[in-house]
Amino acid sequence: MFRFFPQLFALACTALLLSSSAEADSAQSVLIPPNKRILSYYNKPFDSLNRKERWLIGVHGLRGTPLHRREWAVRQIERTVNRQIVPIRTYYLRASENPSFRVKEITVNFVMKRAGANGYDDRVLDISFASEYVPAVAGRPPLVDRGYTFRLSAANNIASAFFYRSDLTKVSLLPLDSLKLIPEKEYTVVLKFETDSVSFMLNNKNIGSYSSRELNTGMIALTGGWIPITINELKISALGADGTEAEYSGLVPQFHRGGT
Amino acid sequence: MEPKLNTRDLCPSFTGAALDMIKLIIAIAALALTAALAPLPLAPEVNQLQARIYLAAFLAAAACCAALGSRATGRLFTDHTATKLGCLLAALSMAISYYCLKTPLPLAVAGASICLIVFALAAFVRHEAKIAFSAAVGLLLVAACAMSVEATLRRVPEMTLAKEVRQTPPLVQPDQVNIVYKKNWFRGKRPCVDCPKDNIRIITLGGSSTYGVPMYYGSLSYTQSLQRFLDERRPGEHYEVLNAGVAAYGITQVIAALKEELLKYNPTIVTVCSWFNDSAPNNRWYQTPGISDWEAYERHRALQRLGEFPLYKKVRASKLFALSRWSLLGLKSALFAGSGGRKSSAPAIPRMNPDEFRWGLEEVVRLGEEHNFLPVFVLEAMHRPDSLKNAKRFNEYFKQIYAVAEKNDLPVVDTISPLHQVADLWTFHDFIHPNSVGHRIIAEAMYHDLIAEPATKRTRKFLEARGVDFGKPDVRLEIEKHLLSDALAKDGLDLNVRAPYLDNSPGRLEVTINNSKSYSFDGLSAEFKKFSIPPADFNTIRPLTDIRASAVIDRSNNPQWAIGSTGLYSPVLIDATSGGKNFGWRVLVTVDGQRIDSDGRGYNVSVIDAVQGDVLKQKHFDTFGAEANATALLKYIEQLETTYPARKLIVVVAVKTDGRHNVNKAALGNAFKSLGGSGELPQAMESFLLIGTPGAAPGTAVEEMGRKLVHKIIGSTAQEYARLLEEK
Repeated sequence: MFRFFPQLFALACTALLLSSSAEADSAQSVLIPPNKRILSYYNKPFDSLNRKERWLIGVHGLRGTPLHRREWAVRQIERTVNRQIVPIRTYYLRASENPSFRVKEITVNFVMKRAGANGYDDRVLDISFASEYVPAVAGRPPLVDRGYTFRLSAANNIASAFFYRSDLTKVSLLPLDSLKLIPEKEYTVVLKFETDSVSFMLNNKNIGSYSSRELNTGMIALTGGWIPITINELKISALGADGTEAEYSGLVPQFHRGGT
Repeated sequence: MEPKLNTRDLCPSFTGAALDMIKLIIAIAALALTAALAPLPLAPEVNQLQARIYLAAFLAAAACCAALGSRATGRLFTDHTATKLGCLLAALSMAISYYCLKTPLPLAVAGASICLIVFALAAFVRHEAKIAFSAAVGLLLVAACAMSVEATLRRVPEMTLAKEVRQTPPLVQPDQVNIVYKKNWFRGKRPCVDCPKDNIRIITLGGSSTYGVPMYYGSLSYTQSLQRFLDERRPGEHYEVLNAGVAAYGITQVIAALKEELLKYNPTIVTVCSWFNDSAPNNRWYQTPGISDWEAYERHRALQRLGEFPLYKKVRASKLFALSRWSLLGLKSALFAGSGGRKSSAPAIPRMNPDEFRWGLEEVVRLGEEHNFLPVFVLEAMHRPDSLKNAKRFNEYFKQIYAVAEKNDLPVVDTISPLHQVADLWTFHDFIHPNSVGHRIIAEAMYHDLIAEPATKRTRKFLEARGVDFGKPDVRLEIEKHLLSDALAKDGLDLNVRAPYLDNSPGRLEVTINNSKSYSFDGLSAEFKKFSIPPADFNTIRPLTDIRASAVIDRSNNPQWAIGSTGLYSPVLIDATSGGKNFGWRVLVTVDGQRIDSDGRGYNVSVIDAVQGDVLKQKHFDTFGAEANATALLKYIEQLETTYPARKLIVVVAVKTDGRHNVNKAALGNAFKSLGGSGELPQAMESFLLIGTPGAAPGTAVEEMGRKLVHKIIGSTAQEYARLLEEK
């Protein structure tokens, strides 16, 4: 038995270390695992957080709306460093990376801010679904980067749209050019999924629908522009592998109470 | 009659002495109060009370010496003796002070010398009118006093002085222009040492967009992307693209970096991507609002040159200077306390206005002519850019770029148009910094305007003179398309391709649809041939279908491509080098000329598909740094077959620095045996190379180790580009 002790010991160490490592390399996931130290900040009362801790919470999410690191993540390829810039990144629902994830409904209640005085206008909210991502070897473009995007825009130079994108090629699926949001106005958008169709509602008004197979599978993602968006309600209902229904959100309540 | 004794006649000597005494007491009291209340240049942990008592005692002693010098020397300084005495005093003072400066004397003795010189100085001041050459004598005495004070300050224990007095900061901080090179060097790739003779060195210069802010991985910047494109698409030619971008750089810093640091690397091409930082108001680089970058740079250089002047350096290094500086700064902050510092009333002007910017561009052109490199201007785009036409119309800096480029027949890389075409997609991290997708688009634009279709005659001629062959086929490692599914379902897909560098080995065209369904077509050769996929095979559920076509070369039974005696043959050229710490200290693993290793210390493991030649994964394990990494390496090798089920793999293991420390020798030896290795491990700091496959019999893999640089090639370098495809 002692002959195998080194191997057993090594395997035990590996299991222990990899399970506790914040940066464990998961062969399956393309999303960056959450950092345990930063995760602990979310459990602290807002007032007890120092400036850096608040920044670390605030920087993960859309501008204007932090998203909980346990629920939402960025892809490895979009990892950024702290340069006092809150970068624009797409955030993926971690649970939706599971192949058996089936989304039923996405509800987002939000308000877009006005454009800044410098005229830069990027007031866009993208809700993506049926997304797929397969990375290539380091530094190369991904093998797969595609999905559907439902876009709501208050920007002057970007139209609302529903399109399918693969890498940099996109095809428009529903004409939504005339749909222009008003800043500072509250909107509730609901995407309702059946297995082979999705319908879009905005403030209880039917915007349109689209039919195709397996629209309720794949990764769910949110992307916002440089101008902040305040999300007051974020709810994603889905079915898991065993058929049980689950709800996901990821909004960080303490930031809605006090702000950054 | 006897004169009446007048007490007033008696009084003058008493009154005078009493008055002198009172003046002295008042002076001493004032000095004591000064010592008690004045801020002292001492470190916080020093006993302030004790220091003040010493200072008060010293000042009292100095005051007494001054009084004595002034009052008690009257009889000595007559009209005839004053000059001689004055000169003597000056000479003695200089001698004493010089001696104190040069000799390590106790603090008290040095302090006493000050008192002596104060005595002499007071005597001089009292009798100055009688002394000839009084100016010279006075200067000498003042100098002697200063030297004594310097000598005394030097005797004060270093750690009792405040930090600001211990060492004076330099007149100007070093210009950050080239600090990145001294500290970090170029971002990512380093300049080659044993460069090929026809190496074309491209240095990319610019601000944070060029550097790749805020991305963690420099490999995603446009510099590295361009390097990949050139490596892949220009077989037989050698390019080296170096990222010299630094956040906040403007055209001034670009010129300064070139002059002070980069020209020594003899670049062939220098790309300049700048305007946004130049247009920013207020000089953030030199912290000098109200003047342009270039003017600030010139001033900075002038101050730097002054700071290097030997005499100035000596004065600035003295403790007396430090003390004076500390006092003046303290006075300044006391006077201006509460005012929030001196606010600049200078107007907010851009770092370089368009005319100054133009001058900067022309300076780059001039440097290019002087040092024989080709300047290339790259338009710096903002997020979701407008069309190029509008950009040129409204952006004054773009106008200058085009004007200078046109005048000198230089290329301007148009990044605006391709980014404008995808303006509604996410290609930026914020309003100015591209993300990895944006960088890729910029790199494609640079490749196009420099190599694929050179933007100007001068560019073409310049590159042709350096061995660039514009008649080469336009090849890719992979042909990639994203096409409408409806159209494919109706018409199918025809691919007219060839592998222009393929020898007579049998080649196949592998076409993958949506990363799932694959088609394999025989007959790929160096001649164009049509490969068709029928419409019925494009029944996909998504609006777009992703097509990837790549070449697979069958090298079986060709001994040059054999992986030892494992029975496996590599479809790709594998070139691997391992260097232990004293034997080269490096690692390099390339597949068909493309580097794939992580260049990490310890074990660099690359996994290659043995059929198609795709690099599936590359990872390095710093076993020297931590035992946990050694354990992770073991697990990684053990799990290879389950990670890539039903695939034949080629595994390349190459050590950099050391492969012995921290590893479980028996377990790792067994793991390598499972790849076809002998089970032996390198000794400490030795080189080690293993090219094998999971499941191979022990001893059949390609393996070498030892106290030397180890280098192995699987395949023929003549076929390094065999897999490159050209589409008609």
